[in-house]
Amino acid sequence: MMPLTDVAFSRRDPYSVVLATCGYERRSSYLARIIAAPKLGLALIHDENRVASFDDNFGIYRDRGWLTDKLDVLLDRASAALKGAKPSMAIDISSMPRSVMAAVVEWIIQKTDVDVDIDFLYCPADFAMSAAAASRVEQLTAGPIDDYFSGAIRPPTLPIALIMGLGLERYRGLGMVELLEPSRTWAFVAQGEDSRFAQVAMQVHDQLLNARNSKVVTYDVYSLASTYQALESLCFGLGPRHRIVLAPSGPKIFSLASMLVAATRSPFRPAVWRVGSAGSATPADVIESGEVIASRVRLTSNLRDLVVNGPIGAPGGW
Amino acid sequence: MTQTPDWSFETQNAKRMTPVEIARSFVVPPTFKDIVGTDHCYIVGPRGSGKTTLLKMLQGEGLMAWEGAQARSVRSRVSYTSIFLPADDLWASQVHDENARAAFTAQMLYAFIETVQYRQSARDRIGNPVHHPIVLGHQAEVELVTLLANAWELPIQGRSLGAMQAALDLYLLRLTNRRERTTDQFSAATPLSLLNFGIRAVNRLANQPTHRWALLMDEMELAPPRLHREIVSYVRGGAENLILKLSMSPFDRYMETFGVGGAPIPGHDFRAVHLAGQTKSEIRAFTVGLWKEALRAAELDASPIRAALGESAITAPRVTTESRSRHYEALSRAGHEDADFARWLRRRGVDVDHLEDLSYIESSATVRKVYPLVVFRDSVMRLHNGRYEGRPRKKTFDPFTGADALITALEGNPRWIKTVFSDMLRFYDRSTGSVGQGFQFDALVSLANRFESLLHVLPSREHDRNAVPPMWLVDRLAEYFHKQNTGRFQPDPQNNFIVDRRTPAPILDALVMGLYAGAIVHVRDRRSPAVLQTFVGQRFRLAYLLGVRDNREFPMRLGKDVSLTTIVASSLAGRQGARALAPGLTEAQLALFGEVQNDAAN
Repeated sequence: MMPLTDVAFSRRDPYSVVLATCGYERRSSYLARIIAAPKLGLALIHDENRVASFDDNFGIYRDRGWLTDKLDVLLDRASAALKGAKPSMAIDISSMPRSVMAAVVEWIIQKTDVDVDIDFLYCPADFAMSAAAASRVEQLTAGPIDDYFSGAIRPPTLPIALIMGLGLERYRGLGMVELLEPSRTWAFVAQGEDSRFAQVAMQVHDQLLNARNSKVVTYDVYSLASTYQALESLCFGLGPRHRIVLAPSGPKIFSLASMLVAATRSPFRPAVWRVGSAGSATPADVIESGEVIASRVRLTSNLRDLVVNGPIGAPGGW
Repeated sequence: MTQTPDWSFETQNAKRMTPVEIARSFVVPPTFKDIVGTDHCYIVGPRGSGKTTLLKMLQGEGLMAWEGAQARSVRSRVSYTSIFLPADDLWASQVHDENARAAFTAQMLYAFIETVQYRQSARDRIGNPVHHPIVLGHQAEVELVTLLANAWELPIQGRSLGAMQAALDLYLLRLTNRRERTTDQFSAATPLSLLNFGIRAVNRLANQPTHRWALLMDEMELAPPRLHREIVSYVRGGAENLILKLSMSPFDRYMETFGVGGAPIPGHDFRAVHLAGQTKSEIRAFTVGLWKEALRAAELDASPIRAALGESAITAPRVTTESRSRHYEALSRAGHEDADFARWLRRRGVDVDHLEDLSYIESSATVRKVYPLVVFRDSVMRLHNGRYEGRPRKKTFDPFTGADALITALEGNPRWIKTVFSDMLRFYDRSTGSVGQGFQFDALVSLANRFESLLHVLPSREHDRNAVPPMWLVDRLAEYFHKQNTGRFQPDPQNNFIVDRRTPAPILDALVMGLYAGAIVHVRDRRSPAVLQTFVGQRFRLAYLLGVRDNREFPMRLGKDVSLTTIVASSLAGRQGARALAPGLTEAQLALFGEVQNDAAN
């Protein structure tokens, strides 16, 4: 397992590098507004969806001297900056698209080559705005997040175990079950201070949760470490006899935990699927609830060797 | 409430069942006899239509566990040994042209070894005798494994079939998911030639030089193009001792090569068996068979389906006084409230107050034909003073329930039938031996919700922003047919569509996905090609199950045809609407939508 621990977030201790997103959600600039100035602030910009709060966020990043650019440019800059003494890095996943999060996790596991503490930061969304954003019915599409997360190829005679994070969107949960036809499904529902999320999620996915081969598991949206451990343990147990698909929806914490498990699990590496908008999603602004959740992983060369080479030499093995 | 049905019926998906489990609840569909022979065979049907079940029933374990009336004769007709090779969406998401050949080969050879192990055992896993047993002594097994390891260039740790399987398993685990081509034997050689080597080796060592084997490949449409071409080309030029039985969706993305330049020809090189093209009586017999099986699995007394679910309003009433009076009552109410219907009746000289005076022939020529439509309109419309004033406070279940309606709605799709029967039987009233109308309807709606959820997440074939979502097309079709049936009364509303030459490619792509999922049904007739290669001129309809959804109801019957372009254009707000739907539409395609809309308006 990755040495991942939940830590207290400090606004005062500056990081060497902070990677965040300059997006259309108001929440995407929240950290830049509250944390001590990092040595190098990096904010990812997409070509699309420069709407809603994007201009305000862009102004905030520009005024604070952060570098705004595409992901590959930012990761190159981060790699260079981490070569300094005792580097520390924070990655704000709150408004990060899942495809970007996947690329960042792959970069951390495969490309970084220094010993570094990485803090994953997450600002939960205000419930009312999350619910409003989720109520839109869009055409969705489902598939692996990218090639890196497509999972180990194993005989299709092995049954599929589907581990889903439930969000508030209709169709996603049941659609995944119908598409993949798993023999067993674990539905993870986020528990936080706002109990409405879990209540609404259970209502929206009522038909899925009542299915005979489904099991509901709750996870603490304030703890990446315990969510990661729960997923890791489940995948460890299921791996030998199942092909595992992790399908995160809902809070980003679950997406990150899924990717960290999949990136480091071997030999039966799970796939991570995205079920999301098929075309251009209609952007919906989301504001932060005000809290910041932090979890830390200490990446060392020993750890990375194990992850990359693995016990049987499988790419991405552990 | 009754107890939940047993596992073999409750598990609706054959993928999750062993051949033995399938055999225990197997109801023989009319198409089964067409696939058991020694022809190369394409089993064509949408998701859930029973393709996997049929293939798994050709495996030795399934055949030997089957106790049905036809079991003995089918067992003797299956003169070959079957190797089952499944595929699914997860597998399809992991393979691509660069790694597909190696992954496919390793999995196929793994299944081959597993089948050899089965034939070599004295009894199968549940103690049944083995189908086509062979005896390989230790020395022969060592010889076989050595031969295969050399031919397949596979490093192995021992000289047993188990060691061979372990080596294949390890090969798969090491196979990278990345888009880099490997150069080993599994990537370089033609997959079926490696299998053929193994077959010849086993046949020689077992002293059965002419024994045939069948490779049963499920969900063939999921294979990447290159692999698909290689396998399909084998159908024409392959070896005598290997038969291919492939299951695929109703439209094969790569079928353009069929019958051209030495490619296999439907009807000549292979037999095409359509699971969705059954007659009404075949569908009925199959559904009734599954009904009996569902009752047995739930440990309920046998009860005829019509007695348990009741008569349907979509069929002409039986001769009982009660049903006939319901029939007249519905027609009479519509005749008084719907001015258009009243006019139509007057033109035919029918007096709604004296329907009982009509002779059988007069009734057949007029009201019997429109009765299902009248019931449908009565269910989903509120008519007042001769006008349509929106929906009723609560729609009635009449058009969608009763034995005949359920049989029609479920289309002979075994997964749908099993799902609905399992749901309904939880509410089976033992005292009356029936299931209430509301529970029947709820079971259909629950299934329709699941089906709609699947349609929402189907992976886009093109993975591009120009793709038209299949759910968008399905909803536009449903809305169009809903309007046709709930507008001014017409005895034969449009309920099916013909694909015209003007239909843009993104709409055709959505149609392919709809066919694959079973949301859109090809209405086959005697002139239909064995395998659908082009859509133009072909007739389609929506799956009837989708007609139970609120505000998009449509009746479960065929009607007049309309062109697909007309439907699509009528639902788009001009060029802007078309552009918003599919940004990749060309100017010519956008102009087309404008033209069709103008035609419709004029």
